[in-house]
Amino acid sequence: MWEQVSQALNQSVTRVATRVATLLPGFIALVLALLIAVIAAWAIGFILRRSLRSFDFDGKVSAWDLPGVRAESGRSPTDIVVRVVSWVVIIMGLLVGINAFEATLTSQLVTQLFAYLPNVLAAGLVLIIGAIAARFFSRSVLIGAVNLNVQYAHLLSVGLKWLILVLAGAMALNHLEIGGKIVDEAFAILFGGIVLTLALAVGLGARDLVSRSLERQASRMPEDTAETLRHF
Amino acid sequence: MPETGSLPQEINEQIGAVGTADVVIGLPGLQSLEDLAWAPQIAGSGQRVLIAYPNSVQHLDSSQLAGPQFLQYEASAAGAPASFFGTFQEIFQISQHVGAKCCCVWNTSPQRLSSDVLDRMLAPALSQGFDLVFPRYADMKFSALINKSIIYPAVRALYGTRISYSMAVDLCFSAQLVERLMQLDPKTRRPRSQQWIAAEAISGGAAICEVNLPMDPPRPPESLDVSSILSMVLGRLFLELERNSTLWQRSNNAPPIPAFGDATRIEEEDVAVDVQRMIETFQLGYRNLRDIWNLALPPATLLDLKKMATLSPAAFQLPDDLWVRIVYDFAMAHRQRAINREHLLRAMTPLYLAWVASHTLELKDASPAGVQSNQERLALAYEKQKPYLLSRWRWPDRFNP
Repeated sequence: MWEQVSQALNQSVTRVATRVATLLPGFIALVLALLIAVIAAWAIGFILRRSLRSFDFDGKVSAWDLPGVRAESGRSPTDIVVRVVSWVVIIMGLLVGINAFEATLTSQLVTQLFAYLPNVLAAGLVLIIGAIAARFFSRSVLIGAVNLNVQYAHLLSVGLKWLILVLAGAMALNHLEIGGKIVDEAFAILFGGIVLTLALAVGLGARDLVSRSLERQASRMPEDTAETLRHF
Repeated sequence: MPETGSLPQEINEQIGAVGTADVVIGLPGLQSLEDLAWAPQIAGSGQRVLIAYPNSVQHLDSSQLAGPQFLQYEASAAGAPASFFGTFQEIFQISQHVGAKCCCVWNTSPQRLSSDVLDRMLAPALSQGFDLVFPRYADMKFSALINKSIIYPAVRALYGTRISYSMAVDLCFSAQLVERLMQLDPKTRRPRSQQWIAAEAISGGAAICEVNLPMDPPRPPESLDVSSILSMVLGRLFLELERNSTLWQRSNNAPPIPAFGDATRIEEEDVAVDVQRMIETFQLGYRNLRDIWNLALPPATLLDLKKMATLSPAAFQLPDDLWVRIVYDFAMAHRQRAINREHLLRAMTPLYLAWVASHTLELKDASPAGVQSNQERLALAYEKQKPYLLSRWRWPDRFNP
């Protein structure tokens, strides 16, 4: 009886030890891969930062006058590039480490992750561009409307900003293949709803207000500052 | 005769036929033959005159106009800013190729020209050794307001040169200055003629003078609104501050430059100006653009603007010192690229309209002497506040709005 118990225990310990022994190299490989990736990311980042600074990358990007790269993110263009590259290297190291387990499941996971990665990158890019464009165009509309003395300038600006953000969000979800047709339909309903609401609001609710506003603008036009004041 | 390599073959042939000329008059804005009624008279001055005009105009039958010679040149396509600030490059090329002693470029409408005006403009460059002749238009109480509020006093305070209309585009040049302006700027790799001529002349130590002209300042194109004009003008002024920072940081106040002819004044009709609308635009700007102004202006200035936004139209006033600090702060924000430059410059429009409203209320019933003293007071405020800009320029990190 005791022999059988002892044998069962021995077999169990052996199985666990074998399992741990099987997993341990993979785990050590994961830690090593991550460590090497972090060191490689740091080294690549260091070299990249020095190279970018040596040919005045920040100055060149500033000269292109991209819509507020520094102002929107609070970081210099060099910092942004270095961070992105460093994180890509670390994530690659992590994926290599996970693959070292040699388990079918992890292998499949890594394969699927790699296959899905372009979608994530494209969605991220769409979101970033959407956020920058929303900020840029809403600011343009706000400044232009204020300079034209349009009282609802802020409303116009916020409306445009959210319109662009919703559009970018829907495009990103489409790239991620999340939601399928629901996203398209929801976006069409939302977009159509906004336009219909605005049309009804202006057409029914604010018809008199709009006509009075237009009349006031028109009556001001001819004798405004143009003839009496000359700015340049 | 100088080489004619960089011009198209057809123009080279025309220049070959012309030979040489003493004076080149460039008319980039010429529209029709009727605008050249003064041309025969200019030829009587004893100088060999060549009038150059762009090929967008129908070819002129010069036999109808005795006297000067004519040359049609290929005009490069210019965008809005380039056409607003005038085009000089092609006229300078022609002037160099015919070996002219003096070159006059009249970018605004040639209908405003007369032989008398041309004689006045050409004389200092031809016979008195000046390199650059600026026009000084007749003074009007409510005209050239961007010039009065920003350009003239800023150039006077920063560059130490009192040019009444330093962004004028109707100018006369000596051959020496034309040669300098044809060179490439090593910093920007663009011909100097495509940059701000006044700043180029000041930095190059050119002899500058003004000529009083009995005409009002030229009107900007109708397609441009205040915001666009302000953005273009301030953009050029601020860019040049960046480019010439070593020059203006060292320059001191200088006496007025020589001026020829008698100053003229045009009295405007007594028409009420809609100050209320400008104040409303400022108040709307204060409510909506504070986030953008926050990036350029310090808290103390924003507090002053907050107080101004609550003033009634009768009590509305923008003090000179506050206005000057606003201009200098925007120059710094432009340099630091706090936000997109176009946005920054356009966001200044409500503040500029506040200055216009304040200026209009103050000078509504002022005499010409009162107007003059008002301008002098503003110019002195720019000079007084120059150390503020200097300290911000040299130690930008000490200031974080």
